[in-house]
Amino acid sequence: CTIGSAGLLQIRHFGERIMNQSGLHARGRDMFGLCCLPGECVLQRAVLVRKKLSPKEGGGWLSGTLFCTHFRVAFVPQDSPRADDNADPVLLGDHDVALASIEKVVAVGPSRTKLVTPNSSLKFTPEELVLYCRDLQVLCFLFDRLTPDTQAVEITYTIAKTYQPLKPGTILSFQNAALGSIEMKQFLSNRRRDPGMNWFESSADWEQELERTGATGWRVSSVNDRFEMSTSLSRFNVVPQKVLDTELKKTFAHFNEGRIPRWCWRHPRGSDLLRMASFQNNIYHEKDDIRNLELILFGGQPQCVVVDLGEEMPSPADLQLAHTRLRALCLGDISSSVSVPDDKWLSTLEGTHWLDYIRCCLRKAAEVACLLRRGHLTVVLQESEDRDMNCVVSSLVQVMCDPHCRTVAGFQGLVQKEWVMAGHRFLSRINYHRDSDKEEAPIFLLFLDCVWQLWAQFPARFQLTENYLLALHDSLHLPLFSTFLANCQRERCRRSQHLPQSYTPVNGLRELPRGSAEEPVDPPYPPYPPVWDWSLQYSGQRRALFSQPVCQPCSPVPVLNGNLNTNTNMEPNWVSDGVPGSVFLLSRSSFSCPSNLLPWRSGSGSGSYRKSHRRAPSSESLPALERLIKACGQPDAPQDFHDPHQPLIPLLLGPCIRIWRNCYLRGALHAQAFTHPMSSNSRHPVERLASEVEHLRERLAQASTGRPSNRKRHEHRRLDSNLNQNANNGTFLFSSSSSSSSSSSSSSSSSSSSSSRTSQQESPCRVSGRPPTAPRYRDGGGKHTFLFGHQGEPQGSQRYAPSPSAKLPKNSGPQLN
Amino acid sequence: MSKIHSPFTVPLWCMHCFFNPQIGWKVDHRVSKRPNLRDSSEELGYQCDSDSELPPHAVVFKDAQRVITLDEVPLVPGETIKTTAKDVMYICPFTGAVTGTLTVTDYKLYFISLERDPPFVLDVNLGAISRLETISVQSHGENTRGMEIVCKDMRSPRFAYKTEEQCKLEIVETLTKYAFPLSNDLPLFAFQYKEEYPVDGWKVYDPVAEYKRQGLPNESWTISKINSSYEVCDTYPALLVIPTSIKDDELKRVASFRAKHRIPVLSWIHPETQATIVRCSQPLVGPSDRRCKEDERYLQTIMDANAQSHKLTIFDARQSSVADTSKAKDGGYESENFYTHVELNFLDIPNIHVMRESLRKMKEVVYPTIDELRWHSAIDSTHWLEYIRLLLAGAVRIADKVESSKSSVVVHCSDGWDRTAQLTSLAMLMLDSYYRTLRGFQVLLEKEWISFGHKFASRVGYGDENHANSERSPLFVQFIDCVWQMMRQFPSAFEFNELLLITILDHLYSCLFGTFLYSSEQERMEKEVQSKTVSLWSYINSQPEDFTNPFYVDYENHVLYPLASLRHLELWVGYYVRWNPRMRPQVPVHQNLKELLFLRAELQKKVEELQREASSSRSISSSSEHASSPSHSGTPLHTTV
Repeated sequence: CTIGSAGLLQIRHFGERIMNQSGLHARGRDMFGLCCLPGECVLQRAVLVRKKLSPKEGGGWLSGTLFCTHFRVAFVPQDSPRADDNADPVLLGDHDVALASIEKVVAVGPSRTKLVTPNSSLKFTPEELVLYCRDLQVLCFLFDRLTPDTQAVEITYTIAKTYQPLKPGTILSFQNAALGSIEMKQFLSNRRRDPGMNWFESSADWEQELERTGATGWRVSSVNDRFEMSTSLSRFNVVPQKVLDTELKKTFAHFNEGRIPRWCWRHPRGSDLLRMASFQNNIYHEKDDIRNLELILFGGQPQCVVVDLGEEMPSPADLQLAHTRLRALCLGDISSSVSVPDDKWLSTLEGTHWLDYIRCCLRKAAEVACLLRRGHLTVVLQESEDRDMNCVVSSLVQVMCDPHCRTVAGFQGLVQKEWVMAGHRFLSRINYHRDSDKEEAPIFLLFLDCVWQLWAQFPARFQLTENYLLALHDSLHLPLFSTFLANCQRERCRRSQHLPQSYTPVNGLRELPRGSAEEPVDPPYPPYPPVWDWSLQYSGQRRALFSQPVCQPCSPVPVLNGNLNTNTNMEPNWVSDGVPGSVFLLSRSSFSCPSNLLPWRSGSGSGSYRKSHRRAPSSESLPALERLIKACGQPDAPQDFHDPHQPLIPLLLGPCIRIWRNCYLRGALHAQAFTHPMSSNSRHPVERLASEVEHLRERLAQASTGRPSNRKRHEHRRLDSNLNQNANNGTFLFSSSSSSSSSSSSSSSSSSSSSSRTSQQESPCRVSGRPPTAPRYRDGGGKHTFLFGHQGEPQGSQRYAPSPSAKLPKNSGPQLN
Repeated sequence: MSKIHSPFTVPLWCMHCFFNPQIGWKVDHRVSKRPNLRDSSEELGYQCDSDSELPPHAVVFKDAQRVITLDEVPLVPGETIKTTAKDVMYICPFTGAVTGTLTVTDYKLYFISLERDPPFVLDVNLGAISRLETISVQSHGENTRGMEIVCKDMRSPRFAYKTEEQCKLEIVETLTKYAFPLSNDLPLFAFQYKEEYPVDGWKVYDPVAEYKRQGLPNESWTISKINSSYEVCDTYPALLVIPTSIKDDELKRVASFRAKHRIPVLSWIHPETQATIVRCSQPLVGPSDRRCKEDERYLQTIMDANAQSHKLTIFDARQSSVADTSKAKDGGYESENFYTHVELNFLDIPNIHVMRESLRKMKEVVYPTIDELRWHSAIDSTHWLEYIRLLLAGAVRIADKVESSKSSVVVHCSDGWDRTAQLTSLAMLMLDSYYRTLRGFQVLLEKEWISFGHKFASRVGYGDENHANSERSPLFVQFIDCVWQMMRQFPSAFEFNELLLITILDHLYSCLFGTFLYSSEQERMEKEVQSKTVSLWSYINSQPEDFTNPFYVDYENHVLYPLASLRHLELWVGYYVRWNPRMRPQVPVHQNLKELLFLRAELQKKVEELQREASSSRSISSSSEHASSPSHSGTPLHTTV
């Protein structure tokens, strides 16, 4: 049967009729078994549809009803439990896809396949409907013989008509369909923000981060509070304490877009990571300015390394091209029939260069991470605009070095700090509105892929999971979140100040000058939630898969504030070796000190400044620095798997950088649909095991309250210290009574574990190991971050202060015999 | 309690080991096996059990520990040192040259250098050596000679040594002699190996028990003893499952119509549908299209034994063009005209020579250096993954035919001992979850590969110096690779882990165990392999926990269909690229898991203990409970820093 434009018109009427109906039942959210969002209306539905499940979902087919609303294509499986009416709305069910995520609609008939567009007509009744999504998912629905033909045809048309390619107008109507209803607005405005993560919006947030990392000598400046100094920077920036705001103001002019060097992170060994834009040329350097510029760059450290991310890193255009090719390669869709033959798969993958770019970013970040371990320097990332690769590298360095950034909360804080607040141009780079094609580039996706590579190489060191990274990846393709719908903080602030309380930054945005004419008076936008409000997007069941327990705790770091050099493998005379005030350039894995690195030092006007140095910057310490970088790529580099603060230095060899299969190849599973024993609903055995351990621990806690005898106490001390010692020397030995007893009987052993075990028995108070000094890293990971009893109570050692009788546990008898 | 040993009470058979990549990687000698006792004990540290007392072997072990120092070469029982040379230089392609002592025993080559800390150790089983070559090493000084040891396991260590001293010349001689014992009239080392294991691996496979597990014999199929003296077919096992209604003289006529007399016999039967997997060799059709009524009737009987289907599917593993060629050479394939209700499929899998060449190319790509930028296209150019895909796709077709179409299948290639074994065993692995257990997998190998006469001796070339022999081919490696691919796609469906696969491949070459020696059951009986050598399964089943996949969930009735597309296959880096120290895995996840399991057991015990104590103390006095200070009311496990 053929349906022309007349048919389409009918569908439209039909849709509107339903919409009106739903208007009557604003409260009755359940439509034909679909749990609708407030104000959401069902346009079309088809019964007796089967959805093809991915192997991860358990494979096979799931039968149910297919819906198309103004906002999403929803699929409700048969016999799915009735949703709780009082539950908060979830934007997307487990089997749903948002209309804005759909890229192509393909109908498969008995003998042909056809790409369905809003204007095309179908000359056959589809048996199968395939939706290709922007987030690389491919959804496949099969109509049953019992599905009424009209339903099959009409839902195909409806989806093809409503999904529409992304354009400003369609985006807005999509956003309104999702979030624009009165109930939804109300609901969103009452939403609480996740207090467990750092949003980096207020000055207190930044201070918290300074404290967490133990950074001293830095302060939060609010000189850009009204975005007057730099429109793309955030309101608060961390600068050296020694620089006053009045002095600071003069430095903005020296940098592209006013993006001055700002503090990002402090390494536990005391070096600082900074980022900045390129220097503004043709500007006169006054003597006072120079002093301040140097102060900002060095931040109290004797040396500074500038890492130029300009030339070596892939350009946004390179990335866009690579990603486009990768998508085409992975999706290999039915309609265009240009899929790559299987035996050329690897070569073609190589030809996209996507993996090379990933390697490039990881290598650069690993170099910086190795550099930071040296201590006593600032590493300044420089990129001409400081809004793309600087985001990638600075956040990767932190993921590698800071266990906190590998928790969900910590990672979200990291993205807030290095991307959202730092002014990554999400809106232009993602190009939601299809109005910035030249700017479009998957910078954030590149970062996610890099993090996935780290995750894949060090799965046990991450609290966040692949599922979490996938969720974030997919959310990027939904134009609904304030996080991604602006290019900088200034834009976000302007928009949100017109809205009732929802997601308004805590303090004082209303003080902003209202003068500028370009400001929209009453924006038609619905209130955008931040992407971090995961309960809005995903069911609790799916969110439970976002994190996993970690073996190595995100425990307090011994913050050294750069005062202690524990780094014994390095040359001890490093500090005296280098000339204070030396600046080096790291480029292509080698160091140099070009004279024009800092424009004010090279220019004739700054000659006076140079004189103030006793010596010119020497290249003496270059070899030492270079050794440092080489060490990170060396197979011989000492790798202690069990030191929780050992940076994750990824392997970069050809076989080690892999394609993110579960993301890019999710859709490429259509060749074979067979049953698969795995089920995503059941938790991973490791997780189950870990929660069992946790549960046992709880029971242990209950049982142990009110232990009467002294003897018991010792025994538990012993267990503590065993576990604790394991953390210190690495292995989870779980050495327990008999092993330690037998080990001391064979005391000739040189095994480090046994020797530390012995020492522990002699002086039980020492075992708690780390000096309880220093500000601790905030353990933001929630209940999953600990596992092996490293919740980090520095007072623990005092708690169990040894009583005189505690020298030898009584029940460790065997070795005395 | 007795199963788990504290680090210093590990019996010797755990210690002298073999290649354990995890150990190898974890410790710094990444290019080496790691027999060093200290490190092994560290590795085994997690096994300590709180309550175990010193088991009897402990004393023995302590003695051993005193004797073995760093200078000494760790030996397995029965192994003797043949020669030693000092100041030999190992030219490590990864970390640079290093000088040390080279020892050759009748089982291995052992190089240790104390120049580095911890000492650098390299250890190569002589059985893994394919050939020895002299190389030019002029850059390392005059009077220096070089030697490259080309191995079957994807590496080629190179040594340099001064020619002045006599003993160093001896090294090459001795090495040649013991690396290729059969060419030098020496016995294989497996016959000298004297280890005793608590478990006897030769008892793993009992054909009658295995057929009984499958529900055989039944009314259509019988376990026949016709081949009990290997007269019908000398490369088949003594016991064969054949249709009940076939008479002995018919069978003999079928045998004469099949290449090498390898008649169609049952490998596996579906427990519900009675659909069977039957294996054989090609029919001797020849250029004149010979027919054999008995053979035709035989296949008809196989089809009739399965009431569910009126078709019989024959899978010929070869390319159809190759099958046509072999027809000219007196081989061939079943004609659909003569065999009624038979459907013939070609699986297009190239022959052993193509596979050998593919793996040779692979070695060039992965050892010693890897071209980062060209890695993927280099892998593509070896076609190794493509052949893996063909095998898996073929096996999936077979399994799907049996499971979904409920039709019996006959699988053959030319002789029915290479590609046939690969395909039937893979299909059985997909269909029957028993073969996915640690024990079942051993049974599968014993049955489909060892007893049905895969020519291990000539494919591996045990003790033979003729490295260019065209009979050699890594077909078994290819099969294990397919298993690994399946394991990667279904991580919780297998009871065993990657270490088992690597261990099997290492001992495929090592000549330490008798399991893979010789090419047929008959030969093994003649050489008394079972009484004179140790089975690999003795070693494995004595420490099964090392080879167990902690993620295992028994999906009993699930059929696994791996995705046979290059997009979903991956190079088995953990085997082929394992010698490259830059490839070592970053986090030994399996170990974390073991630790978790151990912690769980530990905590479980503590909970029970405390509950017992709490209940008893509560009954005794309540005042003592108050005595306990609030300071330790928290969970004790939390309160550490």
